[in-house]
Amino acid sequence: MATTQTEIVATNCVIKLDNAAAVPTDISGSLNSVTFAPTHGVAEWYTFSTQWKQRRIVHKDMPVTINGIYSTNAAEVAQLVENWFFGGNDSARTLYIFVPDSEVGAYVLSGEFVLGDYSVTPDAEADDVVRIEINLMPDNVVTRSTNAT
Amino acid sequence: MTTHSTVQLDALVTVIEGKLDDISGSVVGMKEGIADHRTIMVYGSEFEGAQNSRTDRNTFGGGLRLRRYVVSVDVYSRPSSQLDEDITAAQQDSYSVIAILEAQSTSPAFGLSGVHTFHWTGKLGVFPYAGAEYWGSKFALEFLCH
Repeated sequence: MATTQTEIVATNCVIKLDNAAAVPTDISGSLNSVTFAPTHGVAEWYTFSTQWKQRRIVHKDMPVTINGIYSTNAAEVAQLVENWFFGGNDSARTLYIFVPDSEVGAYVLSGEFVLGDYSVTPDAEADDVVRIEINLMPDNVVTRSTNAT
Repeated sequence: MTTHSTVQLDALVTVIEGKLDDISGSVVGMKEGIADHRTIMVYGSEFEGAQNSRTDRNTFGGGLRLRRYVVSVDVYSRPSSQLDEDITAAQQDSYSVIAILEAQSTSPAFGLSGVHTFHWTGKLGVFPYAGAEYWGSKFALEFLCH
């Protein structure tokens, strides 16, 4: 059995999200984790003559959760998302997730996403900076490709 | 927009020394020995490069590294001799230090930009030094810094 030589770590992942002017903005410096969960919607049924359940893939989805630092710079994740929520234009924006970094050959997940919700919990007794958790949901197709540039 | 400068540990120690200098009759700073009483030593004693992280960074690409510093404040009030007077002196000195720490109610603590949070603990006791025992108090000042 071959031992893997291509494992990765996530310290240099890059996440870009469109700002209000549809310009992809690198928000990695204010993010510390991202969770993407490709999900199949599965139809299930039984028929006469067999005991076994049958299944077919019906649809695809890929909700994304990102955890970041709540900061005051307009080009960083917290203000970008707050301005998205309160800015009066709820249309989908392009999200890019580069794993493990943005070098040529890295994997890129991208698609149009809507803002589901986000939460911020300022806490006077926390010896920590304020954090933000954001849930995004794709609108239409999410693609996976290899970064070429 | 709020911006934060990077806090250097030596600057933090210096500014704390400056505040503790307000306690009258104190000798503050790193000295060769305990020649005078009360003597207060201030020094950085614990360091963490990225608070609550198991890597060297708090965001992707190392954009943010939250530093955790612990600054120790050791107060040597007087050598053990008369118990009631020893405890009284140590207690009075600890009150003086606590008053200065509690005065840091506005952000940033100690007026140093980049200090995010500040938490302290302290205890009274007998502390050995160079073969002698001193009554005094020891404080640990914990900082979260940019």
